[in-house]
Amino acid sequence: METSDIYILCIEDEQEVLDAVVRDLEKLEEQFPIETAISAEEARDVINKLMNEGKKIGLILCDHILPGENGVDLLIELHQNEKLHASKKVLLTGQAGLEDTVKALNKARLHHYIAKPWTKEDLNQVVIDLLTDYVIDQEEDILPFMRTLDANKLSESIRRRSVSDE
Amino acid sequence: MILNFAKNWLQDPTRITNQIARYLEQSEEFNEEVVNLNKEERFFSEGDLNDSVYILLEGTVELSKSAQNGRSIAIDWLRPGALVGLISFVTGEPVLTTAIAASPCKAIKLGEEDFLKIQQSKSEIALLGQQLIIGNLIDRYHHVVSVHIELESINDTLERERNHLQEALRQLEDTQHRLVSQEKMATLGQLVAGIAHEINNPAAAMLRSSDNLLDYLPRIINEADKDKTKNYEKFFRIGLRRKIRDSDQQREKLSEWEKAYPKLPRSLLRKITSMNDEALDFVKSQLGKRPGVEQIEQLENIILFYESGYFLRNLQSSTKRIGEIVSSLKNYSRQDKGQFEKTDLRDGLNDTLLLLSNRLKKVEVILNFSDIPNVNVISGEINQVWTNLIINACDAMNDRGELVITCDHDDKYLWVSIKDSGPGINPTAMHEIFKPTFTTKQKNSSFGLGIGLSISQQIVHKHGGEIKARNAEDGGAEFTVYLPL
Amino acid sequence: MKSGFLGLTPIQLTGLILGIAGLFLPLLLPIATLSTAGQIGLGIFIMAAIFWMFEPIPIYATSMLVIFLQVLMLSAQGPVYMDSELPVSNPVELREQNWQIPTEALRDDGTVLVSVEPGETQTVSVQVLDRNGQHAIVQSEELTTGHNIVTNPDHRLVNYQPNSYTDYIGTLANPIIILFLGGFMLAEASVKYNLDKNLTRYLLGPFGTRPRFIVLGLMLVTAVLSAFMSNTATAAMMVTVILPIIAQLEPEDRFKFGLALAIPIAANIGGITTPIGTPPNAIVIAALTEYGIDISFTDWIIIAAPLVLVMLVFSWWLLLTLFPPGSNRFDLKLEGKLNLSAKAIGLYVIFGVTVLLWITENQHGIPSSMVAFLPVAALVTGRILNKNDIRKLPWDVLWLMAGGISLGIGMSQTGLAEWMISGLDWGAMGYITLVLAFSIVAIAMSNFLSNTVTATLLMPMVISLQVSGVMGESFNLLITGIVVAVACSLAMVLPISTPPNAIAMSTGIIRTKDMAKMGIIVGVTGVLVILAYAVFYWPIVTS
Repeated sequence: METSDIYILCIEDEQEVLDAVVRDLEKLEEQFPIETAISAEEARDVINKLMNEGKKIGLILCDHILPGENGVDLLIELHQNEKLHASKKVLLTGQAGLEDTVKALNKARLHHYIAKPWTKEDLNQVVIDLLTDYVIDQEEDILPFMRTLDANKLSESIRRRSVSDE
Repeated sequence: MILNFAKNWLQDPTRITNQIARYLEQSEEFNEEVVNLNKEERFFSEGDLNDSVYILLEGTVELSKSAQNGRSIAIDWLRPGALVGLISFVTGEPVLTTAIAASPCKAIKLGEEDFLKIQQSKSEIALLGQQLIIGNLIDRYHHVVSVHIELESINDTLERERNHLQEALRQLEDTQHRLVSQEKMATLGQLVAGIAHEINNPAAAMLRSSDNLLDYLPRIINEADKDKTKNYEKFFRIGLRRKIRDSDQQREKLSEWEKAYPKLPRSLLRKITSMNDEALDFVKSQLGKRPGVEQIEQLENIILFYESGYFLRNLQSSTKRIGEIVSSLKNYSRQDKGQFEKTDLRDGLNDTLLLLSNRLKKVEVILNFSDIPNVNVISGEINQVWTNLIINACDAMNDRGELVITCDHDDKYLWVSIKDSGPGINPTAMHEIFKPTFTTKQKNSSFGLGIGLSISQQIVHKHGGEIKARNAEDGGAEFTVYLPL
Repeated sequence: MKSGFLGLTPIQLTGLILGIAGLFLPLLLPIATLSTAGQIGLGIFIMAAIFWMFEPIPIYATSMLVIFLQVLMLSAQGPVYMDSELPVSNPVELREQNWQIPTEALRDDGTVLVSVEPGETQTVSVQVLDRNGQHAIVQSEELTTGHNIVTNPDHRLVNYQPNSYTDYIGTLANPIIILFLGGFMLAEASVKYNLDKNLTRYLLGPFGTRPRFIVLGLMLVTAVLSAFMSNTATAAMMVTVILPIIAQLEPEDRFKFGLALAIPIAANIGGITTPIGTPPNAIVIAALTEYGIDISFTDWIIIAAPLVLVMLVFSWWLLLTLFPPGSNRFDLKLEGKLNLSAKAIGLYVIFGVTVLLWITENQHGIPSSMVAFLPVAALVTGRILNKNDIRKLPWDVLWLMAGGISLGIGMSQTGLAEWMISGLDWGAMGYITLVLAFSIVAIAMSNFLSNTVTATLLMPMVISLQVSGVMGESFNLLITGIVVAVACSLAMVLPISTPPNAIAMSTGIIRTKDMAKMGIIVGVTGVLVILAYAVFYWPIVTS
C-alpha cells in the first residue's frame, strides 16, 4: 500500500506507554507514518520539520501530562497554528479532570479523549474514525484510504461527491 | 467661703427637713399635709402628671423606670431629706420614674402654692427650702457621675467578655477544622491502605509472572531455534536490554534506514532502528543491499522476538513501578498504630515524592540528603507534613520550577528543609501562614490544603519540634522542620 | 510521488511537452493534402489526445483548452480568420479557350482552384501557353467567365469556411449537455434525499436471502440506478451495501470476490442503458445529431437495454461460476427510512414524471432535452436543491463533454476527420470487420483512458467514414456510433479503467488479477455480443 503524506503524531513522555501506543497503531502505519515526541518541545520541532517537508499531520495524540507542560495547553497552542487547524486532536489521559477536558474541547477543538488504560480496539477505532473525517475533509482522492479507514463512511462521501462519471 | 457655709447642712439634710417640718407645722399660712406611706405604696407612677412635691422625712423611696422588656429597673434610692417628684413638679412634664416606698415613709406633701410660699417667704424657711433644693440637686449630680463611671466599667467588662467569647469561638472552629481534617486524613489513609493492599496482590502476581516469563521465554525460543542460526534468542535479549536513543538521533536513524530500504514498511523500520548500533550492523549484513521477500520475512520473524524482549522489559519495569508505588502507599499511610518509632526520615521523604510524582512531573527535584540518624517519630504523621509542604511548594510554583529538599543534623536537632523556586512568601503574610485559614490557593483547592501548614505545625509540635518559614535569598519560600534527636 | 517539475510526474511532463509539440507540429511541417484550417485542427486534436492520455492537466481543463483554441484559431471571429476573404479574380477571355489569369493562381500541378461556394473549391486543369510576370495565358476548356479563380491557392480560406465562435462555445448548451444537466440534478437530489438508498432497499427485498439471487438483485439494482445516476455514485453506495454482507462471510470464502466485483461490473454495464447513463453516450448522440440522426430516449433504450440485460445475466453467471457462494443464505440488513418531507416527496414526483416522460419520448414526441429542463427548473424552484447543491454539480464533466463535442465539430468542419481516415483502405473492410475494429479499439482505449475521452476521440472517425463515403452502402453511421458508445462502457479490466472499478478495488477485498480476469472475459464477450446485436438486432430496430 502506498504510504500517504499524512502523519500521526504521538506525544508521550513515558517510553513504555509510547511503545504501546505505537505498537497498537502499527496497522495504520502502512498508510499513515507515525512520528513520536517525548516532550512538548520535541513535538514542536517534529511539527516544524514535517511542515517544512510539506507533509500533513492528520492526527495528534497527546498525553495529558508532559514534563514541564500540560497536554491540554499544548493542544490549544497547536490548534492556533493554521496548518494544524484541520488536524484531529486526541488527548490521552489518566485523569479526566472535567475542567481540563472542557478547556481542551472548547479551545483546541479536542476531538476525543482516550482514558488510560485503553484497549487496542478502542484506540484504533477512535483514530480510524478521526482520520476518516480528516481525509474526507482534506483530501481530494479518498479512494486510497478505503482499505485502512472506515470504508462505509468513505463510500458514502464518494457517493455524495460523484454526481457524474468522467 | 460658700463651700464652708454649705458644708455643715449638706452633711445633715434631716436637720433641715426637721426644721422645715417644724416650721410648717407651726405656721398657719401653709396647707401642708403630712403623709405616711406603707412599704410598696406609691408616691406616683411613671407617666403621671405631678402637682405636688414630697419632702421625705422618714423611710426610703425607690425610684424605678420600666424598661423595654416590661421589667422595671431601679434607678435610685431616696433617703430622708430628699425631695420626691421635684423635677416633674417643677417642669410640669409627666413623671420620669415611679416612686415607691421601699420602707414605711413619712413625708410632707407640698402643693404648688405652698412650695412658692416657702420660696418667697421672708423668713428662715426660704433659706431652708433653698438649702434643701440645692442639697437635692447636688445629690442627684453625684448620683449621675457615679452612674457614668459605673456604665463605663460595665462597658469595659462587656468588651472583655465579648473578646473572650470570640477567641473561644475561633478556637472551637479551629479545633473542628483540625478534627475534620484529621478525620479526612485518617479516612484517606485507611482508603489508601486498602487500595494498596488490593493492588498489591495483582501487582505481585504480575511481577512473578513476568519474572517467570523471563525465565521460560529464552528456553522456548531456544527450543524453536536449536542451532541458534536464526538468532532468535540473541534478538530477544537485545530487546530485553533495549536502550532508548535520544529522539533526534532515533529519528535520524529511521530516516536513514528509510532511504536505504525504501521497500520496507515504516513500522518495521521503526522497530529495527530502535535496536542498538551493533544489532543494526548485524541486521544490515543479513539484509544486504536489496533484501528479497525471504530476507524480509526472516527479518519480520527476528523482530517478533526483539519486540517480545522489549515488551517483556516494559512489562517488568511497569510492574516494578506499580510495586514501588504500592509499597510507598503502604508506608506513607502507616497511621495504623500512631506510635513513635525510630525512623529514617529519608524513606518517608522518598515515598512521599514517589506518590506525588504526578504532581512533580514538571518540577525539578533536587535532593541534598546527608547521612542522618534515625529519629523517633510517628511516620504516618510526619509524612503528612512532607506532603503538605511539598504540595504547598508546588502550588506556589504553579507546578513548574525547582524543588530542593535538604536534610542534615547536629548534636541536638535533625532538620529537613523544603525550598521552592516560587515567588516566596509575602512578608506581610509571614506571621499568619501557620494560621489555619491562611491559603494562597484558589477556592477550589484540593483536599485539605487550606489548613495544611497549621496541621503540619501541630504535628511538628507534637514531636517536640519546630517548623520555620523564611524566604530564601534567591527567592522562593523555604520551610524547615526541626526535630529533636 | 508528487514531486518533479511543476509538480508533475515524469509521464505527465512528457505528455505536456508532447502535447505542446503536437499542437505546433502540423503548422511547422505542413501537409500538402490538408488545408491550413485542417492543419490547425490537427494540431489541436493531437494536443488534446495527448493531454487526455497523459493528463498533465485535468481532462476537463483539456476540454476547455480545446474550445478556447478553436475559438481563437478556427472561428470566423478569431484573429486568424477575422476579416479574411478568399482572394479571387475572374479569368479574362482572350480568345476561344484562351484565358488570362493571375500567375499566382497557377499551381505546380498545372491546375487552378475555382471557388464554388464558401469553403468549397473545384480543381480546373489548365495548359499554360505563356506567362509574363503578373499574368499568364492559359488554355482550358472548363473555365468560364463566371469562375472565381483563387488567386492564392495556399490561402487559409481555401476549402474552409470558418464557423462562428458561438458554434464552439455553444456546445456547453448543446441539447445533450442539457439532458445531462437534468440527469445530474436528479441524481444530486436523489443522493441528497437518499432516494437511491431507499430504492435499493425496496428493490432488493424480493430477491430473498439466497446468495445467488442476492447477487442478481444487487447487479440489477446497481444497473438500474446507474442507468439514471452516475456509475460512480451508484457503485459507492452499493459498496456500503455489500460491506456488511462480506463481513458475515468466512474469511476464506471466495464468494466475496464475486460480490465485490458484481458492483463495478453492473454499474459500468448499467450506464449503457439510457442516454444519460454515462457521458460517452452523450458524445455519440451529440455527434450523430450533428449529422441529422436524432435518437430519442426511447430509441436508445430499445437499442441498448437488451444488450445490457444479456451482459448482466452473463456476468452474473460468470461471477457465480468463478466464485461460488460458500453458504446457503445470508441476511441483507438494510436500514433506513423513507424520507417523507415535502421536499423529498416533491423530488419523488419530479423524478417519476421526468423518467416517465423520457422513456416515453416516442409516444409524445417531446425531446428528452426539453424534458430535462423539467427537473432543472422544478428542483430549484421547489428549493429541493439549493445554491450550494447547484455549485456542487459536476460542471467539469459537462465541460469535458462540451469540449469533446466541440472537438468533433472542428474536426469535421476543417476536413480533418476526412483526411485522417483517408490513409486506410476502408473499402476493403466489410461491415463485420468494421464493427469488430471499432468495438475492440474502443474497449482497448477506454481501459486506459476515460470512457468519455475515448468516445470523443473515436467519434470523428466514425463521422468521417460517413461523410467521405469510402465504405459505401455497407456503412451504417448510427450502428457504428452505438458500437463505440457501448464498447466504451464495457472496458473494465483495470482499476483505473472506470471509477467504479477503482472504488471496488480500493476496498481491498478483491485482487487486481480477479478484476483483470473478469474484465477480459466481459470485454471479449462484450465484443461478440456487440457483433451479434450489430448483425441481427440493431439493423431491425434502427431501420
